[in-house]
Amino acid sequence: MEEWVVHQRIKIPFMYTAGRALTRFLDGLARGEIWATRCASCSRIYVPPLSFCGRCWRVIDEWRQLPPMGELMSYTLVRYPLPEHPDRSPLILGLIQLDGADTNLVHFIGDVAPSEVESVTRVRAVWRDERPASIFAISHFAPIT
Amino acid sequence: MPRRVAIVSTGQTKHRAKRLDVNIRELITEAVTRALEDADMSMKDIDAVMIGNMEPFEGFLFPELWAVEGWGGYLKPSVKFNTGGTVGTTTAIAAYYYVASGIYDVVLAIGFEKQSEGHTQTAITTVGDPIWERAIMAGAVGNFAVMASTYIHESGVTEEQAAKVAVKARRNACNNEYAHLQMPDITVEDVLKSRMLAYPVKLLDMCPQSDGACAVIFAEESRAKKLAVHPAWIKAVATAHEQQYMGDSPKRLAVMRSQIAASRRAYAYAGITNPRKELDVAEIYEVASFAELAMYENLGFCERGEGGKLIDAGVTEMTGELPVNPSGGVLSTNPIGATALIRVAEAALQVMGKAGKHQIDGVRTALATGYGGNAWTDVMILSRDL
Repeated sequence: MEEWVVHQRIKIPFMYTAGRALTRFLDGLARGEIWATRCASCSRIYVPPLSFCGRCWRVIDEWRQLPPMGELMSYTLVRYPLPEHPDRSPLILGLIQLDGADTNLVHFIGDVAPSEVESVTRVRAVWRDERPASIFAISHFAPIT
Repeated sequence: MPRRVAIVSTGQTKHRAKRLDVNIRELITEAVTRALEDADMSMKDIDAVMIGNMEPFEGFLFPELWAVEGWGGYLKPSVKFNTGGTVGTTTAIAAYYYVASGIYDVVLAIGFEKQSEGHTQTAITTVGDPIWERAIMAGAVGNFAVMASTYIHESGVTEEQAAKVAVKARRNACNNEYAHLQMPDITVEDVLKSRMLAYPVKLLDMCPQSDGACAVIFAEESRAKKLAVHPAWIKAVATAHEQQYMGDSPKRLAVMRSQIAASRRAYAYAGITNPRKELDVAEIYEVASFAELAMYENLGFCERGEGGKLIDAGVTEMTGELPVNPSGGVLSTNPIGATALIRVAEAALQVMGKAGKHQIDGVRTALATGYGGNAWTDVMILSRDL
């Protein structure tokens, strides 16, 4: 007897509430600013910001603006981009610690050839002219030369 | 012998259709913070965390992982539960097991759901058996409609009697500051005239979809006595699962096999022979008005076929012999991953004498149930007496 397989497709719409801290963060990005929060207990500076420090179990309400530049901590080369990614491959994905932050941001590294990225230490945000309230307000991070 | 375990505190969010002011992480923190403050505890006092949620509603795997900063899971022992409508009671029962076994002394149980973020009925559709039943009948309303229709047939219960349950729930909810649907002026007529969803279930016969979270703290005997003036001692827990297909259990509401099995097991363990007389209050998981009437019968509050008469006689009203869902129940508040845990929390509040405006006088023994998946049942019995 033939082996039967039932094919189905289920479409479900979703939305995601940004919440108190990320709403302010996204507003900032749309204005070309990067905002972080600082836990008064452990002094950790979170970017993207948290409204609550899970380590110290306390509300965070101290905000500070960070400069749009920092250190490239690590990177990888993506040779098979997702549909959401910009149409350029290979893509360089970087882990960036902004100056003053204790956490790292993930973003694209651009304006540098993949073969040259190993020597990059400092990077800065390259803002889009039309900035959406999302991580794509920043086009990519570029080497500071 | 298991150790003695009690609930020492509870916390809930204000439940609403949409909580756009907070994300999932911040929503959970609200409930957990209230539970900790209720017993004057800090997160350091918690040995382990049990967290429950139905992630198909949120649209990403492990929302608790993304939200870990907000529920105290950072570097703590924790376990995630996902068992459908019963998830809250499963999470509570797991917390009980961990403390009763002696593995941990103080365990926090959390349930949460932000139903506004996804599409509940489509997600529930995936509960149905994909090969056979999913394509024909799926989602909560259709399932309950068939079950309610059968129940009407079997027991002679009327749509008016079911409407009385819907009215009781929304009026009781007015005394519960955390309840979602508070409708002080709702009438039986309103329910009967509300939009027909699938015969015999009308809009006001069904539970809402809510954003909300609940947190409950369990402790072993010596800690419990220090943490609460009147801890809510757990006398019994029980779980039972049903078969998969609707057709395997054709009288699924009229004869709820899992509810009968789980409740009788729990009653036996707690030494209860006449639940209507020996229970002082019940917080049951009544997803639809008709279900509550059937649950009266299946939980042994009355004889088979007498569920409708019980609501007619006012037995389960706030002033009745056995009040059912003084909180407003699931018909008023339904953040699914939290809903069954809210039953446990509300039963505990009644036993502890901390239910505020919806407190029933002199509660010593309370029942909490969870219901979901494909007709699964969880039961917990709480007592003021050790």
